[in-house]
Amino acid sequence: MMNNTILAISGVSKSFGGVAAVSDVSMCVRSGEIVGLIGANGAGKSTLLRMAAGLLAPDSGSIRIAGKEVDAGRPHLIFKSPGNSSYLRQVSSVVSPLTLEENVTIGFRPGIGRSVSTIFSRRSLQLLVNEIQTARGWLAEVLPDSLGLGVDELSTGQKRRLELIRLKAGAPILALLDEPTAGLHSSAMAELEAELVKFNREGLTILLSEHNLEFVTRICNRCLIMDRGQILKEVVRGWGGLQLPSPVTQGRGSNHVTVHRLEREAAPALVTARDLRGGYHSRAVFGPLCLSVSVGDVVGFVGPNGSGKSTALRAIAGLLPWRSGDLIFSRGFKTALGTPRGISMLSQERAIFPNLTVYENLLVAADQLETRGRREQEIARVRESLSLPGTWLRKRGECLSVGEQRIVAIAMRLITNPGLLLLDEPTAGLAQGAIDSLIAALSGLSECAIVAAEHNLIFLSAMGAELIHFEPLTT
Amino acid sequence: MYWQTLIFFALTYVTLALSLNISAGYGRLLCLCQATFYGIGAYSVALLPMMMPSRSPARMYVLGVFVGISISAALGGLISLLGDHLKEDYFLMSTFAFSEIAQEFIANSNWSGGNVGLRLKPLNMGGVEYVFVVSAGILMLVAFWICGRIERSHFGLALITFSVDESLSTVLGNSSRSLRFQCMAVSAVLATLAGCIVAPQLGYIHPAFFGVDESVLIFTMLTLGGLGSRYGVVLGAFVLAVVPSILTFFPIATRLDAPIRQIIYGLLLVVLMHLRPSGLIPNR
Repeated sequence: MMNNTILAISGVSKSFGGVAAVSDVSMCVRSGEIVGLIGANGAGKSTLLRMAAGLLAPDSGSIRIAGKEVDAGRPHLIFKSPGNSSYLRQVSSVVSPLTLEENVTIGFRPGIGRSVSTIFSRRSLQLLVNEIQTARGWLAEVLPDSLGLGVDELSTGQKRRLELIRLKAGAPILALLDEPTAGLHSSAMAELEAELVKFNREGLTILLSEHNLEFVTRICNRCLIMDRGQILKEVVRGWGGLQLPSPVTQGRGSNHVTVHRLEREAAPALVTARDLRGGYHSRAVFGPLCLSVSVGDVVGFVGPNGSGKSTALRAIAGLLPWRSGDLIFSRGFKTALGTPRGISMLSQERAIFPNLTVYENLLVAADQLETRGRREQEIARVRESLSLPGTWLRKRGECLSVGEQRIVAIAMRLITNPGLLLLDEPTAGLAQGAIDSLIAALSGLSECAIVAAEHNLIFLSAMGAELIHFEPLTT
Repeated sequence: MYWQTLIFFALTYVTLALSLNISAGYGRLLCLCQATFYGIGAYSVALLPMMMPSRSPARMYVLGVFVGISISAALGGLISLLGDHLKEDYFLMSTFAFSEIAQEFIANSNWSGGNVGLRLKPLNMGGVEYVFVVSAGILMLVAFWICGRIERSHFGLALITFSVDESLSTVLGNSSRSLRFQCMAVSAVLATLAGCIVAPQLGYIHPAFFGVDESVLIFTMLTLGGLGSRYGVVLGAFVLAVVPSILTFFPIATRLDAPIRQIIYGLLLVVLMHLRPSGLIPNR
């Protein structure tokens, strides 16, 4: 039974700047399994995956894929060898100067090599033409409505699917997926699930880290719960399915979070949008959108990936010109980003400065406040409301996990106490505990209107949001 | 003769800009030492016939080309290894330093003619007048063809992926070091070949022809045309190589003419870059 182990990790530790991210972890993944890694933000899931992918060298211990030691000095060899693995990371990785087909093509295992001599070889050029043909066929099957688009015009869900097609092109035996469902709408998630199950039936072994426990319980054969760099518990799928222990699932329904809102007089609208339409270049992405947001309102944009929610947020923030319709801000409301009482926007990217410490990041955000004392005060307030641990403050931004970086990014947006807070997927990549404290922090905001594009309906209902449904425009 | 020289230099600059496009355009290895590679070619074909005067100059010229190519490819490869540890801006600075060192080295050595420059032994071309202009044209076409092939090859896709996202390129099985090495070497070899043609056409070479100023000019051509876009690079190089000469046709008061031309030239650059920030013909 043990001889079909694909991934064997034994006694692996890794620390960043004295803080242990992974300590003495041993685990294995057998052929044909789908194994999930779950745990709070910063539990070490991504670090473990990155080490398995050869992108990070472990401080101690060994990692073997199909019996071969992973050499972190030369990670590219892992992909090249026939018994290879493929790694899909948390932030989407599409190459924008390349076309869709080329983005898939770069995933094919380099059978003929990728040295400069390929530019003189007829065979290699022909191979590339064939590969592009194959890629076009797959794209037409999986993303029929995106052919001819630029890579930047794809929605998060479409980008994820593109990455999956690229994964398929590499024909790996092991896939390492870091938060595959982050930022995906339920329909896109179902498609992703179907695709992964199909790959798995065709013989692909999968190790994934995930916050969406429902997704994990549906798809995984086995689940490892991580906490502070260690594996706490292993749960195996039994007759009754995958039963996660209660401390993990606690708060999953999240309905116990109650939001107290003061009854108030109907406030004048802060922002009004009338028949707003927008998009990129010649392509309309959303609209017509009618919206009126007053102080104290919470509006949720919901809908499948690619329906224009993020684009609409960007248009309201003034980051993108809208094509027609009116966007009216109430008198005295500053439209400049980041100004006190103005608009503050959290984009889908992590949006913190990786080279600054967390404290410096917060200071940058608090820059508009006049005195040092005020800044300290606001930072303390936000830290408390989002329960940021004091140990983070001196860490550099890049040393935090992606989920932790999101939390800091949100803290930065809250510091100026904005009048209108635009949030693009605030809960993507956050564990349930972090989501709960986010809900508490957001509900504690006074005199602020919130517009959030979000897939997590439980979060929106806990916030008491009024929902606006987006549908993809049919051209 | 005037037009011939103008066309010759326009062709050479287009070749140089195309060669830089391979490293800086596709691979985003920003380097300020393209003129040094170009100088290595010029000095090798000039020096070898002088070192062995008894042999036939034509044979020595061919040998010089091979020596130049080997030295440049090796140096280009070595410089690319700096990229393992240096980020974009620091890489740029180190290539700048390399270029300065090379220029000072040539200017202060006896064997190279030092600061006086070097007069070449004339090559007997059997009375064919345009041979170097034609070779410069052929070399330019070769460089253009190579850029086109790179854009449509596995190597090129890997290079572009690497330039945008190094860690993605690594998980897709590309060795960053090897990509950097190869693209610097190819770029250096093309520039060297251009130098091999320039030296006999001029008949006289000087270290200042291959200094940092020249590298900056080539870099400007690339930026003006559009990094990573071969049509843009051709246009950018052509415009910058020809415009200063065209400006001399306009009658301007003699005492002020040089500075005014420089001002017009500078203004033109600023305006063009403002109107088309990603190059005259942007990449894709």
